[in-house]
Amino acid sequence: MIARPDLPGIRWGLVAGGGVGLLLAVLALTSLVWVPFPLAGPPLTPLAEPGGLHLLGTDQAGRDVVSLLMTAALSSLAVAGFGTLIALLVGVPAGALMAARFGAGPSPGRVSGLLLAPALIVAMLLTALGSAGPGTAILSVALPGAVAAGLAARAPVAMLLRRDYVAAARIAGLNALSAMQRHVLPALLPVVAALGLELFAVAILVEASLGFLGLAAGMSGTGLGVMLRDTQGFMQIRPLLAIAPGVTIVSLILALQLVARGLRRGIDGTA
Amino acid sequence: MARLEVDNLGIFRGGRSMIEGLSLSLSGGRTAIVGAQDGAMRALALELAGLSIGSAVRTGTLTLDGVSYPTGESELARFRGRIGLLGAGDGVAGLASLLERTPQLLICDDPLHGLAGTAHRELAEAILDAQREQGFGVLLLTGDMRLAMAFADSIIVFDGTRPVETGTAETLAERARHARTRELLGAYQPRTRATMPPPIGEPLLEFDAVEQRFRDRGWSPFDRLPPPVVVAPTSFLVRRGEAVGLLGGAGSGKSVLLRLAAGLGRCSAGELRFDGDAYHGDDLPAERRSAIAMVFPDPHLAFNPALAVGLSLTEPLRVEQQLLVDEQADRLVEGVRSVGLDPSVLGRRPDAFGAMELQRLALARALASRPQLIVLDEPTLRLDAAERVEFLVLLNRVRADNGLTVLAASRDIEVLGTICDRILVLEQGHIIEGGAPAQLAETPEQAETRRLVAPRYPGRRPDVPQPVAPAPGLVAVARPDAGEPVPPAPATVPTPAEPSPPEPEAALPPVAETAADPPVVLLEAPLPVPVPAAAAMPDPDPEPLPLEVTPLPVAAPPPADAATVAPPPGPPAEPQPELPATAMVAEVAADPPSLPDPAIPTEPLVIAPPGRLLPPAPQLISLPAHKIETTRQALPAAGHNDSVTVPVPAESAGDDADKGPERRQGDNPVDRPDD
Repeated sequence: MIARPDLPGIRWGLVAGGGVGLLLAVLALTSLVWVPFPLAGPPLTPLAEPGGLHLLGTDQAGRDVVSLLMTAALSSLAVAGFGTLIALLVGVPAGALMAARFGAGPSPGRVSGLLLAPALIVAMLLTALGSAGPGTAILSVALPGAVAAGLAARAPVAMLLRRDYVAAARIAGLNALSAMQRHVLPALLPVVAALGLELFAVAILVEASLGFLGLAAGMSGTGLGVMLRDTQGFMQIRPLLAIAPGVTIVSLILALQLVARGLRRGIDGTA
Repeated sequence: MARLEVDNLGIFRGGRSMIEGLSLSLSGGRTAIVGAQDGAMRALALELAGLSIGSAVRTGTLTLDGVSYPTGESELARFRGRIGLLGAGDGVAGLASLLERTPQLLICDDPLHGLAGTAHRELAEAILDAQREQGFGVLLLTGDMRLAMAFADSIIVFDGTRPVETGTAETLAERARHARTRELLGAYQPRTRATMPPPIGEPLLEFDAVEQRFRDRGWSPFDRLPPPVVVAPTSFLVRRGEAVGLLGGAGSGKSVLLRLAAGLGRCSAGELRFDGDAYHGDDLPAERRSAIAMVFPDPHLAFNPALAVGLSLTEPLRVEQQLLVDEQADRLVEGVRSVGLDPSVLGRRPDAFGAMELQRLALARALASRPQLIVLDEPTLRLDAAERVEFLVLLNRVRADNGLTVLAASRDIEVLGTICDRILVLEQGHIIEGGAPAQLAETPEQAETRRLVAPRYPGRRPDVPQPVAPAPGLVAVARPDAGEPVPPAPATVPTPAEPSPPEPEAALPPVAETAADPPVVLLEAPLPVPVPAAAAMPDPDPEPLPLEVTPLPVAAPPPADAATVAPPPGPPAEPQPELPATAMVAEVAADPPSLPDPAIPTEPLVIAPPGRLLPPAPQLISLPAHKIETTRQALPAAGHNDSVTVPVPAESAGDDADKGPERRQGDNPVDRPDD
């Protein structure tokens, strides 16, 4: 790989994004075993001031906001993560197949633009069909995500397949699958990783939008978008109630995109 | 016109010495520096163009019109406006934009690198034309001795980091003193095709009305018209043991045919047959795959950059699963040795290799499965001129050793002429002509063929100060019976109007000596229709040789009389209808380095690895005994016919210092290492 000047901004972004992302992920995962004030317990004083025992106060239903945020973040991350995983598992092989059969195809542009509107439509459709569980949210992320992933993976796979060393491997007698496994897959992994992170970031946004619109609740009935929607009415008295999930969403997305950008820069110099 | 003076220049980068002790002066005219393409020439070009990189350290003096190169960036930037730098890949377009700034000095850094043969000449001639118009001095940095010989008035030869010899094309061709110069001069002669090519047998690969169409970008499913044709229905066959070449420019469809033959892609119509098995591309039966191997144009793209080359080389072996691991390793080592490399390199990644080494490895990979047919797609595209010949010699040897059938494609007839028995010319997917290389070079019937076989280097222009005497390329011909050193060399100059007989004879001595020396002429026998050993015939019509012999600069022979200025070779005014033919004779005659010159203790200029040089096969030269007799008798008479023989003492050429400013270089200390 050609050495290119190290951009301090990119590297700094990689570190900061990775750090913030990891911290939030750990906090979210902790909610599985421990939260400061279990949500299932008896309701606390509603709309308590921030500070003291309740770092961010309590919400209108008497739940500790920190505990709620941790649970909601996990729910959002889980929905977005499963959705992204399915999208990659379906989309990348499909894109590779397209590349092998039909070549590079048109340039897809950025994945984010392709995701939000179709996700809303899928979610509305599924809700109209009577489903409203986390499955709806995951599918709403995964279906458009798979299309986006396929389109995004097609071009790099086509480029790798056109390499003469793949042709050489085919001439040497390797079949298409083992040539792909040997020469294309290893080079594709970082590309897929970056693509996955980008999709993940967009998926979080999509999940929050769905929750906010009440189209799909995440696991455990909550989610960052759901929190945003529920606290809307109390913006005047307790602005922090809406700001906290908003900031969490933004920092998650920023962190993921910074890491994805750093990865991309490492792969092909575009960012 | 600016005058560039370089005195005892040294360039160091990262503690490594790149250039040492270079002195030259240039105001008009053309000077060439011939050196290895290992970054030193590039560093020199940047330094001279005022684009020095921060890490490079310069010693010695560098002045333009007596003013030393400034050190500050802004002054240097102003300085740079007067110097044009033409780099590899800039091409004619890059030259045009440079010329708009009317540079006072043009530095060409390997400008022909990566260009096809025809583009070579275009660019070189464009530079010559521009120089004639604007009158700037040209400094050419290249690895291609032939280009330097054809192009420059004065040549500085580098060995490693140091200049070792300076001279004009003529003096160097006549009596190069340094071993490196002689090596460079001899590097373009594929001299070891004294190997026995395999006998030609039954058809091995058949193309039966193979047609290829590709949809282009704007295709839509609603298009009524079929996609455009890349290869029109094409039929030909390659016999076992035969070497067939596809000659064509970019986009002529030669690569498509090759890839189909190798089992890549799928043809739109028609079928291919390999040893009787029909296929259409990637439906080549799996058990046949190991019988066909391919070498790609760019070795750096043909190896996975993430894998050690050894792993890539074992790919063809993995398929034959009955091979034990030890056996695999043995085959690998054997294969790498057979292409002249050490097995210890197998652990390295491809980017640790130069193009030449990597292409050797690509050949080793192709041979690993012991194929019957090897498909070569522009195998020398990324190699420089000397490497190209080296690789072609290797190919010929490998072909003979393994009894291979060859299907090759190139846009360069020199390449195909060296390795092929038969050439088919492709133009836009149609085969327009075919025949033996010599025949195509000699009597091309189609315009496209004429374009493709035209000589690669520009002729000398008479409008620039020409050395009166030793006509480039025609001089240094040893008489077989001459017991004394060759120079002072008589310049045998033909009258342009009537190509005179003696030149082919002049070319003779090397041929006549074939018994002792592996022949140069070897477009030999394995053709169904044997080609006459053209070079050997003392034919009154100068007969172009099989092109493998070509190399030295094409000399548009200037008339001996300095007062008459010969018209440029190209223009219609010239009553010289068969320019290529004449030019080629000149090339043939110009074979000085291959001569055993008693004055210089030459080591044999053999490119093949030592020990691989087979004794010459006597049947290669189908020259009847009486012909040889004739030629020997004809030689002494050379001076008595239409051509003019002007003996010029060797020194007089050097004394022509007042001919033009560029010649003043002769005063340079670098010039005469012996003084």
